[in-house]
Amino acid sequence: MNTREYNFWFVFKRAGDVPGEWVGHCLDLDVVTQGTSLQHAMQMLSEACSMTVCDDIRSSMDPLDRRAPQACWDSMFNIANHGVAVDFGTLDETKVSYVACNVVFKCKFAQVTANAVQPVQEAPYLAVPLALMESSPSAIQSCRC
Amino acid sequence: MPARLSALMRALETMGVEVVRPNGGSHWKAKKDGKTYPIPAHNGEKSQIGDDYLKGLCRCFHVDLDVLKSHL
Repeated sequence: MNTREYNFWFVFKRAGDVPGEWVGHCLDLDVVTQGTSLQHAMQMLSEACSMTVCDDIRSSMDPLDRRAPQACWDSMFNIANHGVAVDFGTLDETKVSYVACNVVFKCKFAQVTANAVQPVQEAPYLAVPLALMESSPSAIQSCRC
Repeated sequence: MPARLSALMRALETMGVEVVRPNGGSHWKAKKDGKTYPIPAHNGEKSQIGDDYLKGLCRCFHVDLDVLKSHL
């Protein structure tokens, strides 16, 4: 059994053009998806990342070659520097507009050939909330990440 | 302006991107040249897809956003 561990940055924000939806973006894989709530967007992004990592490894590609443009990273770190650390489980999504978190993915694979690996378990995720920005810019607080 | 998933599927296929519907999960897959990209499909073909997603999809397949939108 081969285990690989990935450390991903996830960012979530309200979809500007789809009312009620949240957009999730994994910066390390440059994978974007949507959900009907913040929690749903987290589940959707976790599934999307699992799918992407598994497909890339099956195709002998490095999933980390898909890095998001620098502007996306700059935006995330800019917001993180002005956000406040919270417990993701108690987060009230009606009071936030942007969430960034660091996520650890652990994937287990069974080697099937010399050059290909077959995932035997979809990657579970462990979310470690890092920072968020309040809806109102005036409510931005300092980050304690 | 968001796009319906059904329209996005047609646009991708017009542009030579294959759309695959896995048996499980809430995502479909766009595939081209061995590279895949997940498509959020939690509301089936009626799913509304926003611009942020479309931009990510275009980056993955090196497609111009305006060209993709012209096919929607």
